[in-house]
Amino acid sequence: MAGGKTVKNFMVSFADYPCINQNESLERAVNILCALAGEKGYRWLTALDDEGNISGFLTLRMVLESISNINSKPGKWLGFLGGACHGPSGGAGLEHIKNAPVKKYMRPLTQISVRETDSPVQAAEIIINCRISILPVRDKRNKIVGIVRPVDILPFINDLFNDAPVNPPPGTKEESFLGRLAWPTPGCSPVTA
Amino acid sequence: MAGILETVKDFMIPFHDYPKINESATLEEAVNIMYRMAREKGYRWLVVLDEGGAIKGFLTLRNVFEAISELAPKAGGWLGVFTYNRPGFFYWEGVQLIKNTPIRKLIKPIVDVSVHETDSPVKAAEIIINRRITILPIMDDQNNIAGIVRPVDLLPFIVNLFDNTPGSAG
Repeated sequence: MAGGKTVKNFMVSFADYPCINQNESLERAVNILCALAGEKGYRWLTALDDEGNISGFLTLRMVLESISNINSKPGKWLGFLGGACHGPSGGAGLEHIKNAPVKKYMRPLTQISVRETDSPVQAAEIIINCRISILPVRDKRNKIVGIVRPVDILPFINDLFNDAPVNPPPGTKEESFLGRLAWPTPGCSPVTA
Repeated sequence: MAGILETVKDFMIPFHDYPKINESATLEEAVNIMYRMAREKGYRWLVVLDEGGAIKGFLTLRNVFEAISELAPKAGGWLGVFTYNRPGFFYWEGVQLIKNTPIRKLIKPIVDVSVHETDSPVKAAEIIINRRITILPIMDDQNNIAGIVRPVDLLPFIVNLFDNTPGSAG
């Protein structure tokens, strides 16, 4: 039953999410990503600063782009990696990338977030409106306690569809036009404490 | 070892393994399959077929969210439709409207780019980045879709590439 559930019921707890220090190398991050993508389906890493605070996220796309950025012209990958990586320039370029710190390629943390007591619907609207795929979840002390992704909200939608009655509930009647007006929609403005 | 001998075929998901759905199916049916496949195999998209069995496009999680977002205002927005705070006719009608929507109206059309199964994984990665797509069809010699490759499928290739670069720690 989906009714009454909050974001907290669907988020991946921060304690369970794979983290990496932002000063670790991209190579180490890729190794962790590869292992966890197979085991748990995670496709991002949370980057932490030296104090253990979240500083950003490293996504698969950023990993691909990091390698792609070595040369700005189309076709660069082919020349760079397609076997040519064993030459002096290719090897040196790759070595530079794989040893670069995660913070060079990660997406910095923004202030966009939801509360753990918010509705999953609110999280879905922010994910769509802000075109993001990782949404931090904060507790009442404004601390990040989890992360919610589109795939985490899928069970909520599935339950809603499955639980919806096939016929109108007895005794209900159509509401007036005023009842159909949209409720305020959450936007991309930062959630502050 | 990553190199010129590896082709995108070594990393793709074979087309016959990928979850499919007919374009006339409803959003509810699609969500049920996506939910199951996400849990079982980590797949987050469906291949949508037309009545003749040809690929019409893909249905992604974002498509589902966007569809609900677009349909919901007709019945009061996400908050109005998807809460049990309003269990009247309004709620019932809104959910029925959304869950019974045929997915042919929602799909992302198949992109006009693909790679051949003998191409390098590097070429696939370049297209994924440059075209900003997340699902890339892989064609065989008969120009049929042999498989699909996603960014996550290319991770092992990058790991091998780093491992085989001089100066690797590993």
